[in-house]
Amino acid sequence: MIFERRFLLGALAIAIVFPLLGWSEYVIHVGVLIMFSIMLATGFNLIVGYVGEFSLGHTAFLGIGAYTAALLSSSLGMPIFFNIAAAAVVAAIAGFFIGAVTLRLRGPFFVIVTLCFAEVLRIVANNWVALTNGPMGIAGIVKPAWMAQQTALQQKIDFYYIGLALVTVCVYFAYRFVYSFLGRAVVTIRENRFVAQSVGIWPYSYSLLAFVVASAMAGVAGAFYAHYVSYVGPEVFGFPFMISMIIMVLLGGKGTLIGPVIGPVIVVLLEEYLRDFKDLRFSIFGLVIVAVVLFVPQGLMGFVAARREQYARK
Amino acid sequence: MLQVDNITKNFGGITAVADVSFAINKGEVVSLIGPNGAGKTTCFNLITGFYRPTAGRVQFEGTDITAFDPHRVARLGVVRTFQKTNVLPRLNVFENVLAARHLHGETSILRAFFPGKAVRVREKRVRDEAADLIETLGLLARIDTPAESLSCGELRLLEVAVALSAGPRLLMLDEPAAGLNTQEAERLADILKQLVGTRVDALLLVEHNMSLVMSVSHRVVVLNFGRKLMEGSPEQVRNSAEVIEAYLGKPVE
Repeated sequence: MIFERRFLLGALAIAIVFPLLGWSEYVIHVGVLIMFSIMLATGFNLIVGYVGEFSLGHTAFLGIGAYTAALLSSSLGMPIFFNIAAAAVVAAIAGFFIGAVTLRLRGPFFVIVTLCFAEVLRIVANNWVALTNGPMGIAGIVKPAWMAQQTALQQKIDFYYIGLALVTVCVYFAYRFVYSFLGRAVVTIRENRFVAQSVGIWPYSYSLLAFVVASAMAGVAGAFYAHYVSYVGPEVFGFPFMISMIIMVLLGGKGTLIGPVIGPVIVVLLEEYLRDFKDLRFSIFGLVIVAVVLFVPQGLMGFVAARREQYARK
Repeated sequence: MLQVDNITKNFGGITAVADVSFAINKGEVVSLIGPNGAGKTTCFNLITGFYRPTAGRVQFEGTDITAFDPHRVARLGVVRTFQKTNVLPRLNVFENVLAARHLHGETSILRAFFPGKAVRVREKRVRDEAADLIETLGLLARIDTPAESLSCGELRLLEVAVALSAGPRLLMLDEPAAGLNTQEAERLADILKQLVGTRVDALLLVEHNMSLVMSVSHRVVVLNFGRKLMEGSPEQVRNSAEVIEAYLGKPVE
């Protein structure tokens, strides 16, 4: 607990200072991608790492958040921060309904049905041309007004800090979730569902709450992404986002708060570095994943999960 | 406190429990015994809502809890253990007991995300209570040990601690002495005797260790093939020809 808090605060300090060191536009762009990924991974980890169910449909909420922000911005001209908040709410509501259905299932059934929900939403986004503009997507999401006069670099730095602020909020919520009775309840459910029930924990309600919080975070990430790229297409519901989320969380260490912060940093940097290898990069990436699963199955930060709480003796 | 009326449970064509009735009063230790497959654990599952009875009724302090979900039964103060692994194996002793204290540390969801002083005070109290309970059961030396690394005897104590931590009024233990040697079982018996009246109002025990059953119980209910064979004091049960027959069979004539 204390180690995680110190580590996260240290990481925050580094992240605040980082753009001041005079990096190129490209480096800041990578930083923005990392921020986006941390939001996604932190939310996803609440489901995979704490509730202990494997969702393959978390992109549903990423997409819902992205489309919410895109539509609010392009057709109503709403400002970025309003859109992000709205995306969080809409994704949370969607998470409530999808979670209410899917969390009645467990294990492989849960995996398949969540995947179906994401896939259905992708097909809807592809075909409901009147609302989503179909495969063309929604382009021209306006940048915030204050960015109009700025250089491309300064715009990216602004987005970096917006992302960092959102990450801070997401990680704070995740931290509070994990280190309160809520986190204890979901960990109890994860470790032994029957014991959880016998001591008065209703597994369904706590799993659902975690699912809703995770959905809201994915929604925030989607809205942030929409404004940054200023384009949203049906691919936000696609499986590649899901795969990178899984890799980030597993590599970093599921069931820890640091894991989904470190995982995205490594994965995004690796993805960028391996660009030079063209098509070969996916194979190299695959090998890295295999190595992680074989040699550090608990993730790089797995050791944190092994020591979660101790009683401070007087 | 607990009133079980004519509960029956069928699994397809098999009747696991048929027409069983018994009651537990405040301050009592009641044991449920019987040969393997007699329906003892099924009775536990029926009372605590893990199974729905095919027929019959379960009441706890006047409330009909027959159709309640397990967590609601626990909320009313009926907490049971499981025959196999009643702990969270990867968590340490303290985390186990703390997790089971859930009902006492609950606040609103908003408070969980934005805790005030009241929440911190409460959190501290819950932690102190958990540590206190661990000390009572003599596990203080093992407080940081993961449950999966405990010895069998310590594990059984932790199981009792986890159930007690939930703050039950009626504690239901399913084979708490399984795998214990004579000394350890005696120590457990001492602990169980002290529980009633201090930490819990009544105790329902399923146990195969007869010396433990006879030394702690006020009343014993004997099941055989899903039916109630008899009910009485430990002496009555010990001397009953029917019970001896159920366990050992009839002599060949």
